[in-house]
Amino acid sequence: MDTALGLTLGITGGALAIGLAGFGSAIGIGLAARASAGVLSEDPEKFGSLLILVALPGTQGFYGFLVGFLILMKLGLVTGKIPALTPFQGAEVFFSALPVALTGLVSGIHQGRVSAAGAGLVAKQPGSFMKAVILSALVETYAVLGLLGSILYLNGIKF
Amino acid sequence: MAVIPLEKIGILGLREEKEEFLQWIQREEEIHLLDLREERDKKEYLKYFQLSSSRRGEIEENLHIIDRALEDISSFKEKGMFAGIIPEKIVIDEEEGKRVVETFAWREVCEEIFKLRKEREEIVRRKEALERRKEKILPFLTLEIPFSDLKPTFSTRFLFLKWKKKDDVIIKEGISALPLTYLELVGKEGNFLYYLLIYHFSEEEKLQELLKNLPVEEFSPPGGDRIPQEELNDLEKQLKEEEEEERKIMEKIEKLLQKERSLKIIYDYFTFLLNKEYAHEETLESKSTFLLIGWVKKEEWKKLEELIKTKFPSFYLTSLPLEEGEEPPVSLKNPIFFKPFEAITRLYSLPRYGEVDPSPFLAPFFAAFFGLCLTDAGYGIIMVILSLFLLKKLSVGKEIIGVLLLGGLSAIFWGTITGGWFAIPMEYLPSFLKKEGLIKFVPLENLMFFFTLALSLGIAHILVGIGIEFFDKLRKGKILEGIGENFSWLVMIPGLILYFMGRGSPKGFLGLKLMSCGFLLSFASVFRHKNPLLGFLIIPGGILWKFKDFVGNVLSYSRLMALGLATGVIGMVVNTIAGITKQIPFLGFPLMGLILVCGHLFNLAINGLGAFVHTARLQFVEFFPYFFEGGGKPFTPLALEGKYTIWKRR
Repeated sequence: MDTALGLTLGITGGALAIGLAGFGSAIGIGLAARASAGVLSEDPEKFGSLLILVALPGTQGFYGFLVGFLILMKLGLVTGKIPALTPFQGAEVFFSALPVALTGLVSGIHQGRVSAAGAGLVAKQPGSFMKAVILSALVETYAVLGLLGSILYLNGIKF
Repeated sequence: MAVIPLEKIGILGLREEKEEFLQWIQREEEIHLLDLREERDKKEYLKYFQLSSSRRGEIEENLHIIDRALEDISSFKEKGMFAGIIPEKIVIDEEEGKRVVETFAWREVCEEIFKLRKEREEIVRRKEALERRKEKILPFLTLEIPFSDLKPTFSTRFLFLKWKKKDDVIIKEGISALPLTYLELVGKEGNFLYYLLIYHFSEEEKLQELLKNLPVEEFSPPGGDRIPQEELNDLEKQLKEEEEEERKIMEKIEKLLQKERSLKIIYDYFTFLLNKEYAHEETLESKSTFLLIGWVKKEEWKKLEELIKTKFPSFYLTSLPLEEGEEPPVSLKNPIFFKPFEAITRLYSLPRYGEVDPSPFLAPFFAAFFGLCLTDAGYGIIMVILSLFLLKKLSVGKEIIGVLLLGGLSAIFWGTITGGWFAIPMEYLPSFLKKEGLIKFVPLENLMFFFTLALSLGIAHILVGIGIEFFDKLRKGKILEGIGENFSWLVMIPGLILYFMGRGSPKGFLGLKLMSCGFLLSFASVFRHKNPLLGFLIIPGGILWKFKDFVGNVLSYSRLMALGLATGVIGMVVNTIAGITKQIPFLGFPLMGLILVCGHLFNLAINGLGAFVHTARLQFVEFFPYFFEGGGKPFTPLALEGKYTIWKRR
C-alpha cells in the first residue's frame, strides 16, 4: 500500500510538470499566434520571423516534459524496474516537479503576452525583430530556473 | 579593434563640378555627409550659402513605377512560406549593371507588366462571371425551352418553386388537390428539386393558402433567352477560350519574369541616383561654389585628400574641429574572428563615438556560451556544415551566420569533452570518442560540476566587463574612480572565491586578505563625493547593493547548464522513442529513421534558437551594464547601396 502511494505521488509530480508547463505554453502560444495572425493579414511575408516569436513561449512545455521524462526514468516506468518507494520519497519527487510546473505555467502565459506585443513591434519596425525576441526571452529566465531547480532537486533524491 | 576614429572634413568646390564630384564620392563610398540644411539656420557663416535644389521628383516617380512593376511580378510568382526570412541580394558585375542601364527598356517592360496584369485581371473577372452563370443554370439542364419563353397567358400564371427531395411526395399530393394546376420538374441540385408550377388565375388564393403550409420555397429563375443546355455548351466554349487567353498571357508573364533581374538592377540604379540627389540637397551652394561637410575615416583621409586634390585641383579641403556636444557617427572595425560578433553588438546598439566596442570582448564568451547551451558535438557538426553552406550561398547577413559557425565549433568542443554525440548513451559510443582523458565530465552525472562551470564562466564574463570599465576609466584619466569602483571589485571577487574555496586553509586566508584589500580600495573614490565624510558612509552601502546585483547576475548564468541539459535530455527522449518504434514489425526501421532525423533536427532548431537568444541576453543584460551604454548612430557614407543588388567592382 505504502509503495503504491509513493509511486502515485511521484507519477502525479511528473504529470503535473508536463501538464502545467504545457498548459502555460499552450496559452502563451495561443496569445502570440492570435496577435501574429493579425499582423500576417497585413503583411504575409513576416511569417518566418513571427513564427519564431510564436514558438518562444513553447519552450516551457518542453522543460516540463523534460522533467516529466526524468521522473519517468527515475521511477523506472520506462525500464519496468520500479523501485519500492516510501510515501515520503514519492512526495519528494512530487515536490521536486513543482518548480518547473509552476514557473512553466505562469511564465508561459506571460511570455506569450510579451511575444504578442513583440508581433506588434515587428509589424511596425521589422528591424526590431531580435529585440522583440530578447524581451520575450527575459520572461523565460524563470522557467529556465524552475527547470534547473527541478533537475537539481530530482538529482538529490536517492532511493 | 574598436570604434574607428573619424575626421570631420569640409570641402569647398566649384558648382559646375559638383555633380561629377558627388558621383565620384558615391563610388568611393568614403564620406558620410552632414545635412547642412539644418546646420544653416544655426550657424552664421553658413548663411552666405543657399539651399541646393535637386531632381529628386523625376527619379522618385521612376522608382515608384518600377516598384509597382516589381510588386506585380512578385504577385505572379509562387512564394514559399519562409520567403523573406533570409534577406538575399543579387550580386552583379558592375559591367552588367552598366549594360542594363544603357540597353534595358525598363519603361516599356513596366508598361507591358501593367498591361498584362490588367488583362489577366479582366480575364479572371470574366471567367468568374461565366462560372457564376454556369452554376446558376446547371440545375436546369432538363428544361427544354428558354426561361424567357415562359410568360403568363390570359388565364394562367406560374411560380418557380423548390423543395427538398424527401418532401416531394407530400407536396405533389398537396398541390394536385387543386385541379387547375400543373407541375413540371425543371431541375435538380443536391437535395433540392426545382419545379415550374402553372395554374389558372382563379386558383391563386387557394394556392397561396396551400403553399403557406407546405415546406416549399420560391426561387428566382436564372433567366436567359436560350435553352439551358445550349447556353451551357456555349459557356463552356467561352470558358475554354478565356482559359486559352489566360494561358497565353501567363506565357508572356513567364517571359517577363525573366526581366525581374534587370528591373531590380534598374531599380537600384535609380536608388543610387536618388541617394546622390539627397546628397545634393544636403550640401549648400553659392553662385559658383558648393560646400560639403562630412565625416571620413581618419585612416582613409590622407589618401582620399590626395585623390581629390589630383582629380579636382580647384577644390579647397580642410579638417574641421568637433563642435561642442557633437557626436560623430560610428563605424566598427575588428579582426576577422571578432567581426561576426559586431552583429550581436548592433542587435543591442552601436557604441557611442569614443566608447569601447564590446564586440571583441563578447566574442569568445558568446561562442563558448552558445556551445555550452547545446553541448552536443553532433549538433555542432550539423551547424558548422549548414553555416558554411549558407556563407557560400548568401550575399548579405553573413555576420550572423559567422556567429553560428563559431558557435557550432564551440558546440563540437563542448560535445567532445562531455561525450555528447546526438545524445547517444555513453555505452554505445565508439571507443575513440570516449578515450581516456577525452571526456572531462558527463552533464547528467556531474550536475554540480556543470553548475559550477556555468557560474564560473559567468564570474569570468562579469570580471572582464568590470575590467573593461576600469581600463576605460584609466584611458579617460579617471584613475581614482576606476580604482575605487572597478579595480576594487577585481580584487574583492577573486578574494571572495578563494576564501570560500579554502576556508580555514592558507588559501582562504589569502582570499580574506584580498577581500579586505578590495574593500579598502573601494574608498579610493571617496573624494568624488562633495563631502568625503558622507562618502565614507555611502560606500559600504553601495558595495552591498552592487554585491547583490553581482550575485543575481552570476546566478543567471545557471541557464547555460539548464539549456545544455535540456538539449541532451530532449535528444535522449528522441532516441528512446525511436528505439521503441524499432520494435514495430516491417515499418519499424524506416519509422525509427524518420523519428531520429526529424526529432534531432527539431531539437537542434528549438535549442539552437534558445541558445542564441539566451546567450545574447547574457551579453545584453548581465555583461553590458558593467561598461557599455550604446546609442551611437551608424556611419553611412554616400555609397552605391541598393535594395536588391550588390554591384561588384573590378
